[in-house]
Amino acid sequence: MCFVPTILSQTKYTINGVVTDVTNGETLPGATITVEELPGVGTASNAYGYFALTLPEGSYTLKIQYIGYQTINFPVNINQNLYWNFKIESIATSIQEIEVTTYHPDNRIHTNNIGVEKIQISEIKNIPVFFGERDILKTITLKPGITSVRDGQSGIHVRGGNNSQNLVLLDETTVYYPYHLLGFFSTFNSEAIKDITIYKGTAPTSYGGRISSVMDIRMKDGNNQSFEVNGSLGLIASNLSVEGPIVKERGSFLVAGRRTYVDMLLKMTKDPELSNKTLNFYDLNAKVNFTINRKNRIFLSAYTGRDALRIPNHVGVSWGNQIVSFKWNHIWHDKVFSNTSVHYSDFDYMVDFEFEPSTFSLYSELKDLCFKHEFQFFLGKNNRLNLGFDLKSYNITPGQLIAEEDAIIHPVKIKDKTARERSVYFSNEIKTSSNWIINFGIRFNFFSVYGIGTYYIYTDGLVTDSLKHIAKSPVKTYFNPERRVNITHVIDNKQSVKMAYSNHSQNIHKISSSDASLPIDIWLMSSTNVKPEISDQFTAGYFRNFHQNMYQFSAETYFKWMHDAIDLRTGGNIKANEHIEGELLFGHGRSYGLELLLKKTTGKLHGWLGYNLSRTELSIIGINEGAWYPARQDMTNDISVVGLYDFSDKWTLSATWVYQTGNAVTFPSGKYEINGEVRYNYDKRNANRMPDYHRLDVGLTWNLNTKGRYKSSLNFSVYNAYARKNAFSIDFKQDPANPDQTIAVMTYLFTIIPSITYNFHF
Amino acid sequence: MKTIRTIQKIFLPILILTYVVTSCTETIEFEFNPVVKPEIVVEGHVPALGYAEVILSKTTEINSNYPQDNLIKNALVAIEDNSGISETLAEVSPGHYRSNKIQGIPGLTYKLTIQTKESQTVINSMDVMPEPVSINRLRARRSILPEVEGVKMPDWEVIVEYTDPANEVNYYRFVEYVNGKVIASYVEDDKLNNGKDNKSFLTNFDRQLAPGDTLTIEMQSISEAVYNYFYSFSYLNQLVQGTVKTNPITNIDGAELGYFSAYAATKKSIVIE
Repeated sequence: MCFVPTILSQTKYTINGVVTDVTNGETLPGATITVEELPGVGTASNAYGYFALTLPEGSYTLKIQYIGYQTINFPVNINQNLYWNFKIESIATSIQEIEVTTYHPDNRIHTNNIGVEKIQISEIKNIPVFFGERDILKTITLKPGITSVRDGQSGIHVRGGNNSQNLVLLDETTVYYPYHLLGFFSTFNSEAIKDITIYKGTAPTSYGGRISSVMDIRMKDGNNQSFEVNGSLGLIASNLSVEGPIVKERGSFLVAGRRTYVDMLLKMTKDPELSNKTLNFYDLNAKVNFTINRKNRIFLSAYTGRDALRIPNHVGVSWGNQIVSFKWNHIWHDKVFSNTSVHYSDFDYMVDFEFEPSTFSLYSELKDLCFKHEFQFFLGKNNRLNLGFDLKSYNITPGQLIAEEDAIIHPVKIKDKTARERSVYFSNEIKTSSNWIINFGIRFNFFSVYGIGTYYIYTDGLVTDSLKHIAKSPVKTYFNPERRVNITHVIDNKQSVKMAYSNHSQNIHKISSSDASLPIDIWLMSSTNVKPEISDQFTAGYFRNFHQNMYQFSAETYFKWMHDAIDLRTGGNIKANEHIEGELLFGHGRSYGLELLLKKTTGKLHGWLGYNLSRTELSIIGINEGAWYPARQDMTNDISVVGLYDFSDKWTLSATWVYQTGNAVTFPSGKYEINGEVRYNYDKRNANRMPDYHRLDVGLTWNLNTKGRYKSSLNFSVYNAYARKNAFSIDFKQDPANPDQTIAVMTYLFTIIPSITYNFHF
Repeated sequence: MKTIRTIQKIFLPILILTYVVTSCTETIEFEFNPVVKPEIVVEGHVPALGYAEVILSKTTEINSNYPQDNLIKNALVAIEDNSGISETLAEVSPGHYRSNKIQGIPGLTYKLTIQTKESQTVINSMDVMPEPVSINRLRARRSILPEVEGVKMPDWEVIVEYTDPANEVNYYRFVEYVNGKVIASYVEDDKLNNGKDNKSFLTNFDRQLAPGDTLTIEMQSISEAVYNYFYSFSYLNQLVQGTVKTNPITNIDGAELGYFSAYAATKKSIVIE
């Protein structure tokens, strides 16, 4: 497999190791290692900071680069296999003030990534926040092609996909409902998170299961040099994290917790009725890692979080995720790295109804257990091969109605749904001497539905056939070979062109009765009625850096087809319904667009400017007579501006501004009277637009103590600074003053929301 | 297989909680869609022990006077039941058609046929009249839902108690009258509480009652198709559907809007203390 006709007789040696942050020992995934003497030769550290580079015998200068870190040049004489850990220093923590470095690392031109956004938590620490809470899932919506559903509601649309088509991973474990307070905040405590990588198009073949995007969120490993405490006190929540070495340099831990005190605010309201309400959430992240020896490292991560909302004698709602993962990194050989992991994820919700004379509850749960084994072969100096498989088992307990004998309703117990998903995948990345980087791979996905019982076949919502399954064999198996190709041509050090094709499948579906994501949404599996959702996406882009990489520009276009998209029949019932699959409609979607991004990476003023021109349409049998119509999330124009200005090491000013075309909605054309009441006629699906959405957020960070061990800062944020009344919904009614006239009433949620957060570190 | 919707009503409180955050409303300037082609609207009733009545109209511009010009006159409206009686309804006032002969009887099937100049196709529908169910007790009390500033909560709770017949699938429509005037209507099915002694909370955010008012609830036993139609208008469905607005599911063939209901009703009244 030698694409480069080098002098084969030459002896080759491998240098391998881990790239880490010198101050806290955090591994740095995606750091680039290049060879000054051999242009075009290099590698990047993997998700665990591990790299391996094979070079012909000789003397070289290795350049280790990572965004936000000082570049180091490492002279090395390669005459034997070497193990070397590179410890690099963050620009932010460096003691000497290096104002202008002439060279800024590039992470876009030379990487074979298209449709990928990566954000380190440290990059966003000064971005204005909502209610004082830094939120990585909110910040990513400032990148082109990623939009949030609506103010105060959860859900992210990536390139026109709906919010159930995003795979959200925390340390590679699926998070099924990553939101608190019905969407105000994400479940990711920024004190516990290292970074997020979003694949808007082609995800590596090691990822699968959702058709729109992968959001790969990594927890910090914990400082293995010294103890560290970080925390913040906000208006509605506080968080605290403690990290430190277990054995210096070799093992560390991290514990981070967060809790809201919204219920305490409720207690302050004058209404005594409110003071006994419950309205809170908490989350807890914990991680331990230990380097047993040079070849073995283990990680254990866990997350638990829960929301509780309760009005006594009426209703209580609670939901939460529980996540555990164990990972074992093993270096078999200088060039062979493996990761073996076990992941467990559990999401459940419980709704209690406390009506007289008795109570009843609705309960639902989704569990998955996954075993994953992956090898990475660092072949030659320019060839990398990934091989792996994963085995996943799912169990869904659909909405169960739990009721006592004397309750006003009968209990409903719907059979649990079980399935197993097996995937085998490989990918190979080759760099040619002529500046082409080619990555191709395939993921074979087998999804099998299991379970003894009766399976119904629906036609137009009615049961037309049923099948009694008594065997232990699968009821139904779907096979999808997911093909993915990425090609990059590096024109020169400043520019590259890239293109990609990817094919994804999705067997775990979420049915929402609205476009926002709610904890009580229904999870379904592919079945005898529901086919896997499939997407095909073509992407092409041009990447260009200016001024020694200080400015980065990219233009990407994409065309995405979504097959076997699922929608809910008008008025369809989704709760505790054994025949929910009869309430579904199926069809197709397509989304295409142009994304532009201009980023200034360094300097006193830095930030980015994003623009997305796009169209998303659906064609569903049973809606709009099957004709294409704009999806709700269809957004012609989407602009985001993010600017940060460092006045001094004490003050940073930041601002973000977003502008979006209003969502596609259906407004009435005409009215009529029935039962003595005026009603409106809605004829064309999503033919109208909500008013355009725009909003300015401003933030100011004041670093109170910058010297010494104790550091603290105050963050002032103003959400929606010019108090734009962005429409949440528009309803129509007859004007009470003139019953012939119809008036439009707009509901909006937030105008101006100031907040203050105190952050500390020692 | 029939659809099940009742359970959604238990989600009402959660959805209210979603909006516990202060939300504000404001009337805005708005340009409405023009009416491209007026649609025919059919409202047909066959009450038990009462005469059949059908009202025919058309949709109109959103800001025009209603409904004088939009009633459909001189239509041929006929009803027949499965006992062999059929009748062409007389137009008693413009757009209003009434039977002289046909009176509703529970258990019978009614067929409606309409021919108009406005429509090329013949409009027709069919409905089966269910058995009536009576109200055991009707109560009204001050709401015990908590008050939240900026969020509108119902002032009064109206509770209808009845015993659901265990041997059949039932759908109900409750029509609420205050001092003889129709205020609102609500629908319910018995999927989760078949055969139980039920307490139905009629949730209405706009209900205003004062001591001395007479509250009347008419409990109609309706068919599934009619239930589906009225369910589309329910407050709960509007919340669940969010901004996805669609026309209700109709049981009329040949017209997009309206319904045809053969129902059996019982009534109960109380005076508010």
